[in-house]
Amino acid sequence: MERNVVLSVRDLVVKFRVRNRELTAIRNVSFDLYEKETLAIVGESGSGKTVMTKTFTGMLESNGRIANGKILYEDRDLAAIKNNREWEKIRGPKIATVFQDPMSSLNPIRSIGSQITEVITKHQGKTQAEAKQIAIDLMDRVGIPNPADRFNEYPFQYSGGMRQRIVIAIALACRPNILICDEPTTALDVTIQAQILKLIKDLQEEFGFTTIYITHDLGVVANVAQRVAVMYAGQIVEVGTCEEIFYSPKHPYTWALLSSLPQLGIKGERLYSIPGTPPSLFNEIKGDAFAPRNPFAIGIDFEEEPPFFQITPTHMAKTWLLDPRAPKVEPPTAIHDLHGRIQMILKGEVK
Amino acid sequence: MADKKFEFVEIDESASEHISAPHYSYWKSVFRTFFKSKLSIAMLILATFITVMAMIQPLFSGYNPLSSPNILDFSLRFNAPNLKYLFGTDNVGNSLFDAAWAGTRTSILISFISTGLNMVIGIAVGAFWGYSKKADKYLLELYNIVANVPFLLVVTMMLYVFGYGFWNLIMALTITGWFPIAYFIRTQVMIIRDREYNLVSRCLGTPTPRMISRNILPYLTSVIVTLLSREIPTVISLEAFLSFMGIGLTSATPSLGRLISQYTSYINAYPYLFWIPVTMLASLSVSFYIVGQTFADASDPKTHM
Amino acid sequence: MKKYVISRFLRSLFSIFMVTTIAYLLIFTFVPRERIFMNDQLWGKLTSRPDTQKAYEFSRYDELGYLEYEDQQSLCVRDYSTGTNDYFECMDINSSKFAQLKSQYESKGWVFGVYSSTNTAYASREITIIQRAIKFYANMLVIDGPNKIKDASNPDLERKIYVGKDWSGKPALLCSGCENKYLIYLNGSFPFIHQNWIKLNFGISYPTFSGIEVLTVMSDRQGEGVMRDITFPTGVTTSSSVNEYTCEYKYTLDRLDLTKFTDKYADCRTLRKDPSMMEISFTMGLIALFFSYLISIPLGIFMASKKNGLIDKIGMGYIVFVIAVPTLAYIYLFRFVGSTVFRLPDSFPKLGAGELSSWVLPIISLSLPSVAGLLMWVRRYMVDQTTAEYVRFARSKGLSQQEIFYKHILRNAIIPIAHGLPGSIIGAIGGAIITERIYAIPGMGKMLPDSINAYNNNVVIALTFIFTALSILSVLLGDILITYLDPRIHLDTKGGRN
Repeated sequence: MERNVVLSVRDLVVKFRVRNRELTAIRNVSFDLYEKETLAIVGESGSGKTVMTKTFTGMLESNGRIANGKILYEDRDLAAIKNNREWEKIRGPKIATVFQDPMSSLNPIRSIGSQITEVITKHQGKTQAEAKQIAIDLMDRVGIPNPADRFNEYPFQYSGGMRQRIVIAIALACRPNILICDEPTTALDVTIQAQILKLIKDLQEEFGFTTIYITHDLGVVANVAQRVAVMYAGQIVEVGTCEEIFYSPKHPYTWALLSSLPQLGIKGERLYSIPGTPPSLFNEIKGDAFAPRNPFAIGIDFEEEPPFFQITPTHMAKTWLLDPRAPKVEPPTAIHDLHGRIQMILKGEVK
Repeated sequence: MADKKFEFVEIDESASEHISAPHYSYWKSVFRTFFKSKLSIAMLILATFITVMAMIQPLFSGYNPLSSPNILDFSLRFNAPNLKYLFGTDNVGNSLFDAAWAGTRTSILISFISTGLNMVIGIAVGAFWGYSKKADKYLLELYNIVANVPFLLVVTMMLYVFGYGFWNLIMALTITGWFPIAYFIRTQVMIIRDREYNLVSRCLGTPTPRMISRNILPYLTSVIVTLLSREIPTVISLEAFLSFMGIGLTSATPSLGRLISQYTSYINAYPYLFWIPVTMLASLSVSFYIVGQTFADASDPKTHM
Repeated sequence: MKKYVISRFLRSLFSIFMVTTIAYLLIFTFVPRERIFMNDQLWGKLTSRPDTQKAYEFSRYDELGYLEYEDQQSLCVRDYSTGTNDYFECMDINSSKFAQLKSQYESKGWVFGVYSSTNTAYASREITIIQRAIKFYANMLVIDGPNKIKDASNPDLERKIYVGKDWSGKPALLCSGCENKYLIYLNGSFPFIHQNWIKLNFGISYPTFSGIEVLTVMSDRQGEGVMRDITFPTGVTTSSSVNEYTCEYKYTLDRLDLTKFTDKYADCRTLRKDPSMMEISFTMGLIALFFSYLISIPLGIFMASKKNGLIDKIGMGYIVFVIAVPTLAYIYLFRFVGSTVFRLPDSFPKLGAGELSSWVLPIISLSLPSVAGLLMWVRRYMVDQTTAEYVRFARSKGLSQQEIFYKHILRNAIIPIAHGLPGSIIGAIGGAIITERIYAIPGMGKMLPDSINAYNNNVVIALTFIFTALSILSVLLGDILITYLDPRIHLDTKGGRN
């Protein structure tokens, strides 16, 4: 099924100046984003997931810059935009963001309603009265009870889950093309998490936008993602459909990630954890960034950076293990038959 | 084709645990950061010079503000600064050099002693205040009353009631001066007491003295030094003003403030008589302030590289 | 909310009461009372006549409330009418009648002494500090009323409050039988409606401004009398500097009074041309405060937006200068620059209150420290806020820098600004004391060191009360302001700040 590419990242390099040293947060990333899809970007803290999406909205911190590459969206290169005014047209109506902590996203001393309507009046040119009506509808749509009454209330009068719904409502009030959700459920209760995820899914079907989820929670990924991109040390190391990533991962880091899911642990077995820490991005990295922690490392991993190897039309991984010259390696037992294992755990057959 | 490069390599687990950050010593970093700024080095030299001169010079000059040994020698009146009298002489032939250093000595002594006392009392009370919830209730009420009376008013009142003099001034400055410091420390203690790293230490069974010396004190150092850097110039300024108004110190104690007040009338005729004490006062205060501020910034670990 | 305001207000009154009482007790217990005579020239002239001087001191002490004092004559007059034999007997210090009187009073705590030069006796009784303090507060609030005046020579004095006209025809609330003729009146100066009905009484000022009530010293206009043509109630028009609104009941009228007044309210004060001490200090303080907010907020915002730029560096340099250099030094420096470069008067009385240029340097000097404090604070606040989460979110919504600034950041900034307002006011009071001294401004700030140097205790107490009241009430004001501005704060549930 041919889908349109809505955003395309080409050879992106992002650097930060930190206390007189330079840190390369994104080291040459390229990928495509398709219309109406749900892409999940996973990786540990510091892998570069949030930084990358910030470049789509020009929200990089002042000490960061795009050192190289293009971000192609609607016939223009977002990486080349320098003028804040131009970004204002993109942020919101084209690309909207939902952040992790709904409490700090909302201005505590302004009413909820005003924070929604200001977006509507600005981007859709409606009058205050019209905007208020649209806002109330939206509040209803995201599941706020008695929206007309609660329109004038303040953020502290809402619970955490409801605030996140409001944040989503605000993001949607802009009618964006692409919605970036940066760890949208991490700060919420587990019970509310499911509701929020379902809400976003339903809204996506209704309004037809593309969703990018940034998360380190593989449970969320399994729930919502159609495609998954795994990031490590500022690069995408593997990308594929959800099934491909979970059931036939090819990159040792993906193996390690999946293995360390405690939910997959079986009583009596040792819990797996990846030794060591990610490399310092201040230094130039030679070869494969994951090599020092990779139990399956081979010689060339320390010398040359691996290219992407295509496994299926939708599945690629950046590891020398896929090179025909490399030894054949089986993924670790824990994830060898992930599907089977999950079934067993669900059925309670394995204690 | 078996390429050697494609064979498995034994990974050195410890290499991946390597922390690339350099070895860090708190106090070394504090001093390194401090000495990075040329301005603060210059100010430190100036402050040290002024302090040393102010402590030593009056011992040799034998200056006494109540006596005017040259009063009958008319030729020694109103001499502009020259080689014999570096700061010149005043209307009764007294050397401004001697008077100025004696006054500076008073300013330094008063500000150091009263600030020292205020800090000791303030920190002791504040630390206790921050820990005890019961004490907090009462002390807060008291604080709300005391803090809302202008400090100048309190000091002036104390001096008025209990009389003037060197130690009277110190008492007037310390009778309520410790309170704002205690309040500040109380707030800081409350903040860090509940900070997670302290909860963690407690859970891990860290003994209290070690917690205080390793967890709390280093944090408080930066806070305390910042306080000091503000307090000392404030007291210098206050003492100068009180003496200028004739309140606080008796004429037996030399003071820059009184010199300024005495020589205000000569501001047009013999400007050096007025401006030299003013400059001395300003230099004293500015140098201490900058040294204190820079040290306070340097002792905040967030500014260390 | 209302309950909170009332309870806070009462607590504020309590605080003011505590501070004033402590000051009162300290001053009248510890300050050596003889010092009050040091600045009294009249007293100085009596040094050659010790008995007269002693009598003078006693009568002053009595007037000021330290003790009760009676001389032999006044004691005898109490019990025996003048001219009678009993009276003459009493006046003989060796008589038994006098001895009887003496023991009578001594049993009530009076202490007797003798003036050797006239061989007459006197007696005094100390008023304890507690009694004094109670009297002080009991007499503090003076409410005028139609039954106030007790004039034996005028038994038919009408006692009523009525609406009438003042000498220029404006409506006013008048009184017959009160101390003051005008209870409520209108005139052109702020706040346009004035009253004489309820006044605060802090006692008599002495030795400076001798004999005048303390509050009057501070609230009455100063300077030369203003002569203008006035039409008195009798129809006579002459040039006079009388201020009709200050006219009080006069027990004995003289001939001149009879030509001008139709009633016995002929004890009037002069209308003077310069504003009162209170007016001057308040006006300067308010303008300086307003001015400093006007400058610091936009400048601080600009400095934060162009951080480390030239203006930012200059601004930071200014802040450090004002904080590090003692106030005394930089105000003198500023005055020097102002008077030599801009030719502005370097002291207030030089050109007087009427000239606008007299006000410029003092007001700017007054605002220098608060500008520094505010500037530093605004700049730091703005820098902090631009990295705040809600600002990030607002930016990701597509709002422009302007919109984010005005609709989000500024709204949040008002709260801590309101919170800091009381601090600014308290600071302004202290600053006024220094500035008024340097520029010789006849305001309340200058009164404090002046009255301390003169041992004018009543004025010192009054100033303590006023400054403390201003500070504490401005804190209350700040807290109430914040409740209006910040919807998160519910003051009914818990008590106020902290």
